[in-house]
Amino acid sequence: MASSKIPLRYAMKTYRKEQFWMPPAFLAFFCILSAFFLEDGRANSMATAFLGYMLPLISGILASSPILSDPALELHFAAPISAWQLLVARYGVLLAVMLATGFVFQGCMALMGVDLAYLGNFWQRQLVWLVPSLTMLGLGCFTALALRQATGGSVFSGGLWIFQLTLKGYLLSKTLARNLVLFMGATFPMGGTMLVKNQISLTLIGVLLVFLSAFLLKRQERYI
Amino acid sequence: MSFLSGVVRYEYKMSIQRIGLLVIFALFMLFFVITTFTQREELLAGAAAEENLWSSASFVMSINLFIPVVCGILASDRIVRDEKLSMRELLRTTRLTNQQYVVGKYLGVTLSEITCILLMALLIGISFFLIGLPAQIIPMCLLVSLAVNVPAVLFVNAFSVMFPSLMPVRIYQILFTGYWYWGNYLNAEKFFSISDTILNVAGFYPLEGYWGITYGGARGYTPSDALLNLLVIILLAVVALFVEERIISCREATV
Repeated sequence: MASSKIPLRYAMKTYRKEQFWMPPAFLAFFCILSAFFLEDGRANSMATAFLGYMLPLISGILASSPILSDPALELHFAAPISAWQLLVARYGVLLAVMLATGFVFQGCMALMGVDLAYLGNFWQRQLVWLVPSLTMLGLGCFTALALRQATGGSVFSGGLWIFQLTLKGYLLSKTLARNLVLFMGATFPMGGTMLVKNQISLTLIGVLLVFLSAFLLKRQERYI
Repeated sequence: MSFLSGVVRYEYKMSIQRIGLLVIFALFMLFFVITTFTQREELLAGAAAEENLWSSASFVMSINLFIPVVCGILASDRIVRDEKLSMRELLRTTRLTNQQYVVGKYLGVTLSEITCILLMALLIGISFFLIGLPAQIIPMCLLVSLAVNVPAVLFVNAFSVMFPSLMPVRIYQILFTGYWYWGNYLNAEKFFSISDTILNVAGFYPLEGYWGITYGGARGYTPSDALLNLLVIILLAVVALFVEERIISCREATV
């Protein structure tokens, strides 16, 4: 009986390389920026910009390509791998890279003496970047599969990101819309119930989009 | 010339039929139309207070907040796609020159996006008319859109055609999305940015230079500043396309 497991060294060759070096490259860039602004106290803003704004954007755009830009996609479909397995294998790696990037960045900030306590305790601080990053990851993945174009996923991720960034103030002033604001954690880290509601809504949307992506991926004929 | 027009025509058709472009433009059109109707009172009060219809027409500048990002991302995979699908090799067997190829791809995708933008401006104009502004607001919206939105798309698309030849497409898309906010809207007094230079393509130059309309305070731009801004935008776009043609030619010379 054929094994459904792909040896790691083969799997790694089929992954897009930019998802491994791009987040760390941004991490290094923002560490340099933070170090540059250490004196005048703007390092905190740099840290928030990276965790709360850049990581979700990177997640969303990188999430549009792991499956559809894979040149061996048809071979994967021919292998005895379920849609869920393929999704977990592809996005698990991206998620792991994003998690590592988020934690290493916080470690670097601690070493540089940048206090991130204004973002809340350890767990609250993780939610500030993890929740929007997961939502954007789900969005990038779902829209790319729904439109059958990796660039379609990038357009939606980039479009939503810039839309929310420029209209953040307006959206936060609306009772219903504020639950969908990606950057509320970074804007109001001590937002209390309002922030909890926002993070629950975003997480639910992210999970729903991942489920819908798995459903779309089952219909393999759409992508051939 | 017929080769160039052929590439433009084909690229235009391919681009305008992309489901991603149609869906996202439809969503943003819906957003602008809904905004117009929900902000009816404020818009009418603003038009009455300003006594200048151009001020109302300048609402189309808000298209520049998001749409150039969408256009740039959509344009970024056009040449990469041809290489990935080995279309480039096929095209090399024809008499199509690299200049014609690059310009054709650029014009095709840009014209398709400009079509959607002008349609968006037209819809905004019609919405304004429907909420009670005079009918001349419709051509005014289109004119402001031509001066404000079109140069922005001409600029970003040239770089979106060029940069993916130098870096992976997704990396470019992330950097480009970040650039749009950083380079055009970030307050340069608070953080290093090129938003207060002649390289700003958000539309502040033409709005203030041609019509004296300001957002976020007067910057003192004159009509000649606006023309200079347009000239710089076009010049940089031409340079980007020239560089892209050189990249392709150099790459193919070594094959």
